[in-house]
Amino acid sequence: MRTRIFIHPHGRFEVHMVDQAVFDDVGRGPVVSLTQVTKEFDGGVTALRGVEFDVPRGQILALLGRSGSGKSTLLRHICCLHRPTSGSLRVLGTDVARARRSQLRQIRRRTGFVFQQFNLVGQLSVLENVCSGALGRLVGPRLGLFSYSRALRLEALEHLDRVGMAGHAFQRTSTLSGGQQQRVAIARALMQHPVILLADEPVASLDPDSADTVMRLLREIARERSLTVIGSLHQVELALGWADRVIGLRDGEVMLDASTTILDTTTAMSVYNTVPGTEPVALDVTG
Amino acid sequence: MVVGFLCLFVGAGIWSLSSLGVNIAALVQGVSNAEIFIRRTWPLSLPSAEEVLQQTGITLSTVLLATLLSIALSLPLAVWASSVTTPSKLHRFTSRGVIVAARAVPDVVLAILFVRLFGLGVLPGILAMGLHSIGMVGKLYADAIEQTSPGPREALNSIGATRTQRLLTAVVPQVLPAFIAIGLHRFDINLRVSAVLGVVGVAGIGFEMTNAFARLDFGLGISWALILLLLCLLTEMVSASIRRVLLRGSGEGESGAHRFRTRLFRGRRPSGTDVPLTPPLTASPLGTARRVSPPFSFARARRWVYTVIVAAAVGASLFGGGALEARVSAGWAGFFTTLGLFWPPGDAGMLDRLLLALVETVQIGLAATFLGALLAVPVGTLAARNISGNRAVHGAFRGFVLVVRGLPELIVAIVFVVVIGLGPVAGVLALALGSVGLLGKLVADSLEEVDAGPLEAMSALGSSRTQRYFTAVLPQAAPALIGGLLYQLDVNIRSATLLGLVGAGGVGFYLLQATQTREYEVITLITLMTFTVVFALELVSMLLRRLVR
Repeated sequence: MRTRIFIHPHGRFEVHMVDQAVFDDVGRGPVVSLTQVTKEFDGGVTALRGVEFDVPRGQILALLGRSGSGKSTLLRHICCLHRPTSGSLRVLGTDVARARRSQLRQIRRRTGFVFQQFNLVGQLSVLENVCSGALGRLVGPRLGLFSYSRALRLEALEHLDRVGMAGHAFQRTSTLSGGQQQRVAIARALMQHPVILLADEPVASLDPDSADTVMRLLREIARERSLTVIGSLHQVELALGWADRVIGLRDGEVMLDASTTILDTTTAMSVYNTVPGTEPVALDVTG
Repeated sequence: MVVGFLCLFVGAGIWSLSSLGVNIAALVQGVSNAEIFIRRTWPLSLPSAEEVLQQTGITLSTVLLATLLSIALSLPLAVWASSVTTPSKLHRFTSRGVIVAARAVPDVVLAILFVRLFGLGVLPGILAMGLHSIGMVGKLYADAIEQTSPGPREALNSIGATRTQRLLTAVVPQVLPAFIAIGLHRFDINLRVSAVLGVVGVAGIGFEMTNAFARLDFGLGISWALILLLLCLLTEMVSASIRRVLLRGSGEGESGAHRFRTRLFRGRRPSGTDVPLTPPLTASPLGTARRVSPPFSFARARRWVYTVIVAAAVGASLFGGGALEARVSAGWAGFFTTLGLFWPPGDAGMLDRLLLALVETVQIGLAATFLGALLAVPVGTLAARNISGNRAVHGAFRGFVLVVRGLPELIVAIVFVVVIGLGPVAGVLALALGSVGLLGKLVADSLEEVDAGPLEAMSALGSSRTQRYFTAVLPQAAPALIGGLLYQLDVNIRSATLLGLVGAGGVGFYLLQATQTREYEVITLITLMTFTVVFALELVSMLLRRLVR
């Protein structure tokens, strides 16, 4: 892995890993590409069955489905936290099944992940939590706000400003409300300079107003920086108004794959039906 | 099941009491001895103030360095012992093994070994307490790491952080308050242990006390005992209050400082609220001079002050107490020869006497736990907030339990030995008193944790207070109470093995004798024997706990 050393005016220096150039070229092909991806966990549970779809750069994709339908597992595959049991998964042009550990880390660095429970370190300040988003490109462990360079702290403050949380930079993170914490988590993801933004039920534990703010932020940021966003959601109405495209999962299988321009609520709701034998719905797939 | 266990426990307790000769006559005899004792020790001959300061300094610095040593050694062990931070099963198993082994070897035995290696002084104490403490500190640290929330770790993993980065950024901030609290708790325990180590030649107040008693200068000895007692109570109080603040979460302290600041600058709006509640979602132009270091806060200033105080104390103990004057009395070649003296274990031809002493040790533990429980149940009941009903009563008994818990058992044992003479009776009484402290707290805690629903239902149907206590409270708390009782028994049997060092009966007497006659292989045998007993007890109590639950 190539590294570059930055020397700051006050004699502090910092070792950064150099982004692999290949990630910036993937604009031509799909950012994420799944072919017959199947995942079986050790306990014998099959979480994904023959999942197949491509996501082009800049698309906002919503995953719909009941709890246990495989949405979270799918997102964790794209972030390389899991590897598929069979089938092929390519993220940012890299074949995940055959990638070395360092390559997996490279992919993780460029995919931001927003969790349902925010997963911030409550004991640290807001700014330090955002700074920790840069850990993937820093060499060596960090503890304490001053272990990050001034340049990084300035950048983190910029991202905090973008999500409207700059005024809380030095507050203890655990004292923030859920909606505020989720915005900080988005700022942390931005610190990764992501190409893909993954969101696992980002608003499931928020009140309607905060949920609206967070969803709006995700969409605006995605458009500004032409990011690809893949978010799992529970609410059909919310997904239809937010995403470009919807993929519905049931028991680890793709049941629905459609553009939101032509999808209506009733069809989308069919993902939640318990009636067995419902045919998979295939409408026009935006490319 | 519970009834059967209690019958067994009461039976064993009464048998032990009678065979050790603890009865009313012995106690009456003791009281009349007390008169002679007081005449002998009064007036107390106090050591000079300078001497008191010097010895207090030595004791505190030994205990501080020992605790820091155990923390430093426990940190990597805990990281390796936890499944959260170490995926390798072999590492985890080895690390857990080291931690258990550290707890199995008594600190006194370690001190005897190190005194033999390095001579009288401070260093053997630091090493003995430091190594033995790993057994507790390492285990609790590993548990604390195990209990951290997995969310932040997963998030950092998704960012592409390495394992070390995850450890430092996601785990350390979560466990830090617990780590400090555990360290402080161990400091209290080590301060108590330092009294025992004085008996085998570790410098400090314990050593001065032992010397005074050896010269039959009871007045001076009791003065030293009282000084150490006072020191224990003081540090217990200070560390208990620090621990309470730490574990409540520093957020509380933050808001306290915040309130103070708002009161101070009444005209200004507090800094937290100058951001509009629904901020604009478009990027505002950044000013050229944005703050990227936190502004002044009382909490931060206080942290700095604490850090400086701790650093100064550590520096003073390192360079002021002669801790660094390490010299191996027999040279490094002699190191292994000395270790060889301890192996293989041997009985020096007194196996029957050792076995009798071991039985006596177990009897002391049983009798002390029985007597302690008789007192601790009513005391603990009155100390429980939800049972005693009266705030003053609950407060007074909580305070009583706290003070009793602060008394070092060995010092209490010495006082009892001086008052009622050598032998197991003094040991039983000392440990029984100690049990009231610990068991009283455990009883009160488990009664307070009882579900309030059945209590409310009982009072709704017009029952009396006593009826409620026996029908709604005791059955709910029974498993916790029996767990506490078994834990106390374990603690008491461990302590009983050391009582003999001060002449209060049990196998500890032979530990001291073997040290003086240099029959080190006997020390190993005694260690193995007591370990077997404690291990067997552990198995029995594990079985009982499963049955009672």
